[in-house]
Amino acid sequence: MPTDYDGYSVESDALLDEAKVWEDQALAIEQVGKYMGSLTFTRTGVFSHFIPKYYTLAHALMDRCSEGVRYMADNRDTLIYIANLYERTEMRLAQGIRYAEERR
Amino acid sequence: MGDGDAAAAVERIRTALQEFEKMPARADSAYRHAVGKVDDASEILGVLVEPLRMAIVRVKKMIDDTIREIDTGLGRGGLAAMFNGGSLASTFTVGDGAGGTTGSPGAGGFRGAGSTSGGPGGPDLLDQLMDGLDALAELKRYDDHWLRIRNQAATVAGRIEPAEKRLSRYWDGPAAKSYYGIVGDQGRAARQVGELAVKIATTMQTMSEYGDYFYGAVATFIVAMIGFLAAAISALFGVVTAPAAIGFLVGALTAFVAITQAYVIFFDKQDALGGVLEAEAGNPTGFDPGPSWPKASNLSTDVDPNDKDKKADWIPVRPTH
Repeated sequence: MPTDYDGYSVESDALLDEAKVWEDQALAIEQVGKYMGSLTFTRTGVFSHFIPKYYTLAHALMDRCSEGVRYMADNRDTLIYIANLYERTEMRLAQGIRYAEERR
Repeated sequence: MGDGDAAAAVERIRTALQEFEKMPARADSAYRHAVGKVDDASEILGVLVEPLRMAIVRVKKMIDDTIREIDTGLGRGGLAAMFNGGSLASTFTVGDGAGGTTGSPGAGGFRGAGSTSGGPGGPDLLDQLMDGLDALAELKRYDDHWLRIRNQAATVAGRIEPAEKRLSRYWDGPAAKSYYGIVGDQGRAARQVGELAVKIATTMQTMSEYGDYFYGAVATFIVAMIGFLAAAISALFGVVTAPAAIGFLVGALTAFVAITQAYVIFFDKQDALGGVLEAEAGNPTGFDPGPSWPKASNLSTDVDPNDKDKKADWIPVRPTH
């Protein structure tokens, strides 16, 4: 977790909170995909012409959900990376300023 | 039986025969309609129609014999003639699947149920109908589930979309603005999943309604056939009159026409409604901004205001230095 060092954790916390949103919603959309996958027909019977087409769209949507999970996780990772990078950058800049002040 | 009763019976019989004579052509037409589209479904239709047709032929022959006996018993010597028996004989010919007086469909008019499924009216047809009942029950159940999926997808969209509201107090700059755009795409994708889920749900509702209609026709036909058979058997023993049995036959024949029409409609709807779903699955622009879930590409990670370009793409709203 970021420290309150030099006050820039507010910004990085905001990014980490945003990353958490993506994590939660990636899990939610993963559940949606699994839910879709559970809606299968035990038998086809006289609906043999309709049900395969239903599966075609259901599977396409499940694929979209899988992509959504992957890209949402990418968003989460990117935001975490930016938050960490920002903290390191700010820390480095702050240290540079302090070092410059000490030398004066 | 009085002359008035006999005349009324004759009239009903003639009406029944007129209807019956149309049926092989109608059934063949329905079958050809199905063949033109999908073999599987047409096979079901063939399996469905052929045994029913043969059953009607047999039952009709039975009642024909019964009426002849009654006619003989009445000593009138005229009822059989009033039946226009010559036409009957050709109409109800069984064997090659050709449509009797309609003739034209020929031996291939109905796909031989016996040759493809091991016997007319065999377990394949019953299995299809019984399995279809399970599928119908699942169709009715699943439409609600797909509406729940819509709600879940809308919730996902609703939670990710207000990113600007969450972050704009802390972050500005070109990367932040680009990020809000990406969030919009992701939200639209989640909503699109929801919209397609609604489409599936409503299509399932419609399909189940046509399933009800088809099974209703099947049930009506079965009830009508049972009624007719019971009346025909009773007529043999003099419990009901032949015209009364003919009344049941008219009902059975009407139900047969109805079931044939119901199947054609049912098949067409499967084709049309399934086609709608299939088209959505294959529509490259249907998943806006698709065709895939949008990728959050090229999101800048530049947070350093002192790097080579001397500016950051992510700029804190509250300056820390």
